[in-house]
Amino acid sequence: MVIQSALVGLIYWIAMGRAQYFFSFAFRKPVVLGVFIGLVFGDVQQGLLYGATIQLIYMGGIEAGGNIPSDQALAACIAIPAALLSNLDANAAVALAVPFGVLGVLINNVRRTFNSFYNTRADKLIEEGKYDQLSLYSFLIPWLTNGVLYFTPVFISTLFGANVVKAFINVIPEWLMNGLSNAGAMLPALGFALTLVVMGKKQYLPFFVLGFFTYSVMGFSMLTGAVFAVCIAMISSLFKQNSDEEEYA
Amino acid sequence: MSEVSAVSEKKVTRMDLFKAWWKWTLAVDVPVSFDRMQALAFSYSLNKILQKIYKDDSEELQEAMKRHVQMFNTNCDWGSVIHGIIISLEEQRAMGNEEITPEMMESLKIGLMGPLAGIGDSVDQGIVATIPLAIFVPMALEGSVVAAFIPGLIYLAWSYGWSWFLFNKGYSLGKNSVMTILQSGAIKKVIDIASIVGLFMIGCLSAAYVKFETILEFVSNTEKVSVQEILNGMLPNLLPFCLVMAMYFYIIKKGPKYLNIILVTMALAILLTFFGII
Repeated sequence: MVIQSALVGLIYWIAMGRAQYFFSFAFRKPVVLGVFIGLVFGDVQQGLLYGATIQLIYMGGIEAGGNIPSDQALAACIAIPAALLSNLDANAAVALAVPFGVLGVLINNVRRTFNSFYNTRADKLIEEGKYDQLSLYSFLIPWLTNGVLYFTPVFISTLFGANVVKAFINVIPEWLMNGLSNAGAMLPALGFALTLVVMGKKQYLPFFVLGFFTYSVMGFSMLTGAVFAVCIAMISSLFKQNSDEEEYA
Repeated sequence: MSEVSAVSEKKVTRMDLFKAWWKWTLAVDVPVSFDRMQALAFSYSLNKILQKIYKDDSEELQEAMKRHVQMFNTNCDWGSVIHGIIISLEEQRAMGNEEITPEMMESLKIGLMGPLAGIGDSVDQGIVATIPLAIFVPMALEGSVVAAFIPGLIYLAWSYGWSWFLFNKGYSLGKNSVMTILQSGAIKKVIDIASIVGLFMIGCLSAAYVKFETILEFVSNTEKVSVQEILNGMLPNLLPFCLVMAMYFYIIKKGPKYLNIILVTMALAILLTFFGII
């Protein structure tokens, strides 16, 4: 159990320690983490199921300017091991994931506050002309110290948490459990709203509304949706081109 | 003879560029702090190159190091073009081109990092990372391990390729490169099309994944009337739509207070569940 907990802690560090940003960004999706956590506990299929279900509530998990609205990796790394060990159903795993996703934002803020220390350090090293040490303090040392911040909570929660979670799930009333699960179903809205804000063009909002209600009425596969989207985009750029040409003419 | 070799010794090679690019992608979000964001990652990327090109001038070297630990924050792959440009400018300055001033580099960095982050975040995260996820997660839910990895692989291929391309473009074209790239008609058109595709898809995804339904019923003597059915008759998925829009306008008006939104949503969900409304 110690080894398994350490491995899950390590997985969380790889996911949120952010060394090699692109890789860690792709790795930290609950659907991917589910496979690896499943592997640690010897049940890949079940891990994948939990991971994919948790992924649904972080579908629009966008990090504008590096601000994470909620930490999907912490949600996955705490909820999936607990769910695997206690044999929870997928909805209960989601209910468990939601609050930890919120807590993860705190870890990120602690890290960013703590990292300020390395800025002061960097100024001093430059004054002294120690540029190779500056290199060391710019990546390796922050990465290792942040590691403690990421590894520890997940390690402890996996090691002692499963029993606590089991007791907790038995104790909390059904309405609260359902409430958290419903919150999990509503929260994807934040990710999508945030994506709308980041995409930034208010005059394009009708395309969002069109996509929303076309899907609501017809309910096609996402690939079909993408085909529609590309066609609509090309057609509207055609109109734009024509009006541009008229302007010049 | 010795002068020629001294100059070539100070020249930035393709290998130097590759290492600087690799270090940027390695470190970008690791030393992030509230006060200077990715500043240390930027200096980490340029550190060895600066030491090489300014090795005969320790004062200039110190100045260069100082100006690259200042506040910096951008998108990891689109922002790479800035590194390319700054490396080419620092190199010219080290060769004795007095026209390139520290102020000029500083204002280039500050001026470019914002717009590039804006375009980059929406294209990378709104489209490249999200749409494949939407297509493949349903397959993962049915038990396909391969489907779990495909969205990540698509994102990796795109971000590594695009960022290395921009890094090189920035270096070879210098400071005009971003203007050339951002103002060329083709890229404008691509971004335009991508935005529309992205917004339409976000619409489909919101409708598919935001679940918010009432179980409220009006019971009269003769029949039961479900409120959700009435709503569906008016406009399907009306409640999820209102939820997304409410969050959208809250962020626009009040800024990115995500924690507030999450806590209020959780409290609302628990309350509504408690009173048997959802």
